[in-house]
Amino acid sequence: MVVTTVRAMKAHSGHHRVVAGRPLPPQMLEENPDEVRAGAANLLAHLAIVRRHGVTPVVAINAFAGDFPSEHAAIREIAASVGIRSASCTHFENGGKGAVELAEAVVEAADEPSDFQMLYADDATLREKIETVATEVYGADGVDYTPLAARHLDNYERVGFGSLPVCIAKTHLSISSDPKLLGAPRGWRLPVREARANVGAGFVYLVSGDMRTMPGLSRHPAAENIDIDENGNVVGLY
Amino acid sequence: MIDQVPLPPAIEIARRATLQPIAEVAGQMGLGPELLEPYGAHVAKVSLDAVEALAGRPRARYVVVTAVTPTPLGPTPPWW
Repeated sequence: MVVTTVRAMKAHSGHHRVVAGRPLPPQMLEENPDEVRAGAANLLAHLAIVRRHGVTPVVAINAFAGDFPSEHAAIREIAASVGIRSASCTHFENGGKGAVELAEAVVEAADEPSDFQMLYADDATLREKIETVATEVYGADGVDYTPLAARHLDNYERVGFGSLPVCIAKTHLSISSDPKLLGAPRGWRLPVREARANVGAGFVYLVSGDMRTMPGLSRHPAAENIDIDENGNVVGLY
Repeated sequence: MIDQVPLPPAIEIARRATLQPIAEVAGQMGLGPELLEPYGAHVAKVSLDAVEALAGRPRARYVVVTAVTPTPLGPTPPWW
């Protein structure tokens, strides 16, 4: 199931600058199914990734107040153009009732024959695995390793960790490694800065660009605000 | 346009829910009391014995939920 929203589709059109902490551009709130269509590339790329694994995707349109039916229809046309089921869902407002159409689409999709496949074989080299993910999932032309990353990978292969799967720490704001690139970017290479082996957990992970693998924590933990009131209710969770 | 519905905060919605006894929830899934390790009325761990006990059941489907690449505001911008 691939979830999308009208706002996300419009953001991927590249017509607007969306900045965290600032209000959305007012033009983005107007009825504009063409702009939804202009932002189709990202959704289509994600659907292709699901299909690459041999299973049937379904598109879930997470409905928001302020969406227009024509915009939902545009998303459904995009899904239908590649033969994929879709459903608008209003579970946030209507609970389970709001997701019945989606549930039915998922049941139908799950009943289709599937041929689930991993992206790569365990016995491929670490570099082959990284390059498979980079080119077949992210749409990169190839991978560039720093000398440090290359040394790490050579070491892990030599000591016998080459059969582990790989996990790539990359920005979530783009399919590419550049958080500013929208849609489904092409014509770029994945930079790998370093590699680390989590042998106990059973994978090797790669750090792309200046990604951090652990988010910074607030000086004041959320627990400081959580309490129980005189009626026994937990307060301060949100 | 889809109308805006006034919504209470998530914590209010959560508090309004009436919890079902966990034994009932488990029973609906075919997990009898012998396969449960209850922690009060609403929480339980499922015994590993359930793997063998339910081995004869038809295979279930595993549904993975993912999303398009989010905007800097997150995949679902909270504008209300």
